[in-house]
Amino acid sequence: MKNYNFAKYDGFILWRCRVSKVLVLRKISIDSVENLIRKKSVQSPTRKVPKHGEQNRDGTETERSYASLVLRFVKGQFHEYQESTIGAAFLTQTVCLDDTTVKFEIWDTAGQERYHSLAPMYYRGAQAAIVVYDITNQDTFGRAKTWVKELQRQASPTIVIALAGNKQDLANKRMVEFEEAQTYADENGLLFMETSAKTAMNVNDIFLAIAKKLPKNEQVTGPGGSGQGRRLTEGDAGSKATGNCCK
Amino acid sequence: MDYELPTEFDIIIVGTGIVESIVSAAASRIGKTVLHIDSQDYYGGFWASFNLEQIDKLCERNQNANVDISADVQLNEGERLIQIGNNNFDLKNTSQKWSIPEKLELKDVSENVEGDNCDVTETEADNGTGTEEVWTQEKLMRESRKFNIDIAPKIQFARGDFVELLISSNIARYSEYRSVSRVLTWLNGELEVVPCSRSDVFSNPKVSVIEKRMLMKLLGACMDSEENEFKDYKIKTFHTYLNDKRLTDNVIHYVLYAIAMSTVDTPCSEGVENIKRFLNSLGRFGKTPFLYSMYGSGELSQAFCRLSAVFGGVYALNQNLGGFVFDAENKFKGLVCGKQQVIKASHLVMGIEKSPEEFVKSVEVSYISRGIFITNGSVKGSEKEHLTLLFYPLKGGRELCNVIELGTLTGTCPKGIYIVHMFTKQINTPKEDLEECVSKLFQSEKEDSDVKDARPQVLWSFYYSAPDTNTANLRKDVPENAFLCPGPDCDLDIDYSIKKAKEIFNSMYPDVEFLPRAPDPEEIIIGDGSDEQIPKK
Repeated sequence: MKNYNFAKYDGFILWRCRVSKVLVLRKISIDSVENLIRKKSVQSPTRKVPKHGEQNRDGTETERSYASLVLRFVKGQFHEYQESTIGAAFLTQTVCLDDTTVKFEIWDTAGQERYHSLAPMYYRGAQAAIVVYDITNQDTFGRAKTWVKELQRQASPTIVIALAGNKQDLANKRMVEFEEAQTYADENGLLFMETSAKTAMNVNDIFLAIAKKLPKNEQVTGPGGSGQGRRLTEGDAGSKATGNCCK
Repeated sequence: MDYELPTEFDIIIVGTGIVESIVSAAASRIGKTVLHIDSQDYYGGFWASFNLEQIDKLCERNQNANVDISADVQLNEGERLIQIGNNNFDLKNTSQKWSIPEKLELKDVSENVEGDNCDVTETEADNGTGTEEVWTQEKLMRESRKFNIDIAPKIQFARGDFVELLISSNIARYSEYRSVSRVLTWLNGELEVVPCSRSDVFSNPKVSVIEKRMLMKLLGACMDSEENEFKDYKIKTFHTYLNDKRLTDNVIHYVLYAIAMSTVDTPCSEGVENIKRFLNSLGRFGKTPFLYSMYGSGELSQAFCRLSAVFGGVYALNQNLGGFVFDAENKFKGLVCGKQQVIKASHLVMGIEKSPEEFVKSVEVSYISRGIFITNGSVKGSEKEHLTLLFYPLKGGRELCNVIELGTLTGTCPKGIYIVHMFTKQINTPKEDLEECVSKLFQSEKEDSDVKDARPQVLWSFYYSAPDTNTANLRKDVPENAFLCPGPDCDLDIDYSIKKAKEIFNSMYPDVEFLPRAPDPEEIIIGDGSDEQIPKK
């Protein structure tokens, strides 16, 4: 079985993008939906991104459009004025695909890309990425292309990349033609859809399309599996009695 | 156009080493505004991991890249601008060597049909017949990106402070680890597996039944550390204690050099503490008490940086740093970024190599002798790939050399290749200090074609002296609201660095919790209109 978990790449990425965003997805397990129980009532910590004039407007915009797409997917919610970025490491979501379910971890760039300082750790083990741009802004499309190039250069060669033209609900203010993006996506072997976090159009579909395109990995790579390392959790803390030297 | 950085923060952190990154995460976590900045274009500073191309050129690198002395800023009365960075803590005695040809010789190439297919043909042949792969510099360089070579390799104890902190702060989810799969030592001229667990002890054919009993009894005594047991050894060495127990030489060797990671000079109490730490970490994540971070030790600082960023920390690498501004009372005021921008903050934390010369002039430095080797096989071959930790007693047991062997499953090198790290306290030069161990583990340079040497061949080697500033007093000569972070120490783990980071954090923010648990993704609900709450533990 080909091991596609092993993303390897160079250290240092110098983005030049402000508005378009990338989500990196990891298919972490094939699991039954029932296992995904979400707790409620704890809120996101406030992100305190210092304001810096005009440029921030761009940044916030995007983060909003990015965050809203994820939120729409994960929670089925859309908020016009939400926190600029999610105050979490990543979100998880499960997609049902025929008789199996695919659980995604959705990682945020956490703002590190703003000054071209995205940590290489971000790509480790990434199996899919969604590059989001805003169809009402031509610049964001240009930057989305830069992200795609970076992903092709830095991430695992088998990574599945999807291009999402977001804010489809504002199609009357469209600056990026559907055909233009479709052609670009075809040339680069990307999945492509126009989405709307506001109306939920294509949001589930794009994640489903990705799940379908991911290489089938029968052997679930749990802790200590061949290709992947282990996540350290308290749960792993087996009793000290077994296998111990003393007593 | 690039973004301009914001102009005011609670705290500015210069350098992305482990200690700096932990402080950054802890400060962001409690809601402080943090600017985490580095003049280098990579994360990790002295703790970084590099690909082959980068490490091959490491010696040419300027440690103070991007430090600008031509800043032109308006200073207030009494303020002065101090240049960032010093050259007191560079790597020394660097020596690098390729032991394989740059390219295949002509006749070898002509055997393949086409130059471009060279790679495919070789690997196919290799899979089919199992013949030994021929490595060239060119071939390794083509796989440069598959390398993540640590300049400060670290191994963690499964129940050490680092792992506990990762779990309690919820940073553990960012990165992946591998268990060290075997612990070796050099005994009677051979590499031997150190029995770690009870079952190891009993299944080890080299340990006699009597020795098994001795070993179990001894470890039990150390674990309980009854006062009577050790009361006569307050000023004696652990070696003396073991000798007095009338153990066999083999048992003494396993306990002293491997389980207690000691030398013949280690005090008894320290040896006992080390044994406790070893035993406590057993049975948690794998067969041995040790863990290694996937993709190299350079990932460690990135995990903390990520938490800092998630909680609002602003990250800017590869920045031109023009200097620090201090006022008449010698209080840190701000950082000059680029030629003109002054960024203000009430605290400054910096890696020791970023410190102005005047703060570190009396800092005493000791050195660690380090060697990195790229080899074509494991030091002790086996069916399955191992992640190996070897304790090699040097100079008749007066020093201990730590050896870490990493294979492709750790995400640090391509298939068929191993990376071996060695380090020990520096006495002479790195080459001289490590020679004893190197000559035993690897094929000798002078090839003797008559004798088939089964040991791995060194393809590339790199020796250097790394500065250790952990015993120095880093508060002397340093202004009150500025803090220096030491680089890597000679320990196997990073627990001491965590302690240092905590000290710095507590000096700035006393009585505030250090890295409380971050919420899980599932615990976060965004924007339902009610008031913001700080997630509870």
